[in-house]
Amino acid sequence: MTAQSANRSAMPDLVISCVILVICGGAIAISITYPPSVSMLLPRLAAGLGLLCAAWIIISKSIALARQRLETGVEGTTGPVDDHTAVLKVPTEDDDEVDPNDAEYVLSHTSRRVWLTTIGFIAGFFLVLYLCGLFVAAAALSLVYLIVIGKKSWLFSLIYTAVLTGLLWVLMRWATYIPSPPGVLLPGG
Amino acid sequence: MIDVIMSGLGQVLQWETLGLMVCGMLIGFVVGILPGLGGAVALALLLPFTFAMEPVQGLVFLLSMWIVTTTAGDITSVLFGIPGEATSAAAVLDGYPMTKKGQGGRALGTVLTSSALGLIFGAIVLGVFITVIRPLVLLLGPPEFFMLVLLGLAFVVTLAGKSPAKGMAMVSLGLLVSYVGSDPSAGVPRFTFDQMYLWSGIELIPVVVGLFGGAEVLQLMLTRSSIASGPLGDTKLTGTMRGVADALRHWPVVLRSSSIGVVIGMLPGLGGTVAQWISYGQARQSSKNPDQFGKGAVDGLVAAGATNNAKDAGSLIPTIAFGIPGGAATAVLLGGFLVLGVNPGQDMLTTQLDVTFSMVWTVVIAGILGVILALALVRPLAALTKISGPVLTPILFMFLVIGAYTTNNSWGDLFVMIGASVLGVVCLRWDWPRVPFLLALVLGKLLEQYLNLSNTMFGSDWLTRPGVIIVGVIVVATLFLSIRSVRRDHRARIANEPTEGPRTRVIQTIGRKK
Repeated sequence: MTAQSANRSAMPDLVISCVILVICGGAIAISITYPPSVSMLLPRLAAGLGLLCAAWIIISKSIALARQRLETGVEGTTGPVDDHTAVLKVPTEDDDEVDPNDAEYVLSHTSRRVWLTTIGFIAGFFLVLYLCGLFVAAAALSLVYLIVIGKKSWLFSLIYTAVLTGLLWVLMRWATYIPSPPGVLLPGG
Repeated sequence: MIDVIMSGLGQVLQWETLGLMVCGMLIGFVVGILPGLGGAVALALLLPFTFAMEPVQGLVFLLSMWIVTTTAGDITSVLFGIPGEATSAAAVLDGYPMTKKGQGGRALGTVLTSSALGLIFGAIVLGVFITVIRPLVLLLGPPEFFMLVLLGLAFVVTLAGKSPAKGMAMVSLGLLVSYVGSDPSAGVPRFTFDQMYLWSGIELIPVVVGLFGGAEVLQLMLTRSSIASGPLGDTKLTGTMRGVADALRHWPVVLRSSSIGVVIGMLPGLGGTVAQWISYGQARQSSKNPDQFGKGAVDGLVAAGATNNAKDAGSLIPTIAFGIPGGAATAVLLGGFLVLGVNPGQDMLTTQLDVTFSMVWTVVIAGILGVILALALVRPLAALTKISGPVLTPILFMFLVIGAYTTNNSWGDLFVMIGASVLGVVCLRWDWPRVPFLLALVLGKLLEQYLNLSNTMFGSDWLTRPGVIIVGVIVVATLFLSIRSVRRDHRARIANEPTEGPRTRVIQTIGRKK
């Protein structure tokens, strides 16, 4: 593992640990504001445990990072260009061994454009859901998603959308009577 | 006891219940065949649909789906060399070479029959264990159960993989989330930030749906691909009856592998990914033709199939008897028990014993029916692997939204689901364990409930009860041994890094999937 790749794997752990540290510290601080009659033993113990573990991770990762930086500095031969080359080589060597369906691999190797498109679709879906309700949002999502992302034909997408929305309607309004999120503009949508 | 066992069977053999079982099994087949969508995700997504069901119906629906998921994972392992489930990876080693030799039907017959036999063995052990353990559980009171829940949380160190500190941090986060809402003794809202929605606490279902379902759906949206690249084409699927006979002929392997599966399934944290390789190893050691392993050895395939399903039945034992789930799927299932009003522990072994035995019968019936259906529907099931990600995405998205919203018919649950999805993605991306968080969320309320009961009933004297001290020692030993084992594994990994071969890497990659 190169110093650069070690940095890359340790930094998110540091950030996540800091977030946990803040949450647990906040929970302990808030717990003090409650009257003694409120049972706070377990919440305080849980927050204390979280605080300790987060602090442990922060300290151990920081020490590891500092050591690696020191080693890189002492070696002096592995400059940024060498590191970059090494990082690029690793995936090439591992290409046959990495499962392309592995979650960590998918999430770390997806391009920024695909990420943005996906998040855009999700945000768009929830916006339509908020405004127009579940059935309209389901129809809009499936039609647009199949045409734009799935590269399916108009006919296929239309039939799929009609069947999905129809089945959803039958399932929720006739079969199970499960309430669906209503839209602000279209309460029945 | 016989009456209760037969009452359990009677409850399963109702038309409505059997219909739900078949529905659950069909969904289980689809989920099992599509990699990425594991049993835990499917359970999480379909849990809300059990709200309106009777407890037995809901449990039959969920259990039959979960059981079949494991069986179905073997189909893609054998036909395409792609494990549908992480626990089906060992079946690839001998199943796929057999398919390439034109013995696909025989391989399927072998692996599916051994799966069914393993499941039946596991169910028998489950039934016997429930009968044997019943008097012991009845001796326990709230203090012992408090300690047992604590023991369940101690096992997270094993579930946390290579970093116990990360696992414990996630446990504390899960516990804190479980304590949001009204305090059970004083009724004062805790950590609610003046939000009415939070007064009743954070619901389990939106969290489970987001944590597992949301993260997997996002992954599917990012990959946009179907799973199998090669066509099934003229792969011969004849000779299934020969495969069935092969599995029956290798009954000692079935027996040994099933025993390993049940025992490892009972131990929280180890799970099927470990069980399948231990079982595969013992089958090779005891085989007359060990050199055939990896090239299409029938006994290797039998071992993989039998262990795979037996461990599911084994993992139900601590879940039912003590409310300690062994992994992600049983943690979600435990949430399902609570949602359906079935309380693990004493209730499931006394007043709800018939419900418990209906679960045992479900495991047996769904296991056998699952194999028959799998053999009958193998070609259409294999064709499912051609469905592209974008076609599945809208359907799964609807399940996410409906699953989260129906808990309270509240937008707040949708926000919780989105938050849990973000947490799930962060955990997957940066290798933080999700299961300890879920386990703590499920067990947090139970922990507080048992602590309050213990204090009310016994004051501080409960700390000196023999059962409490014994379980306390086990908790400390578990923590110590788990941390030591993790540290030893870490050292061994560092020492072995240069000699790590491609196969080990593939196995590790597959093992990480869930």
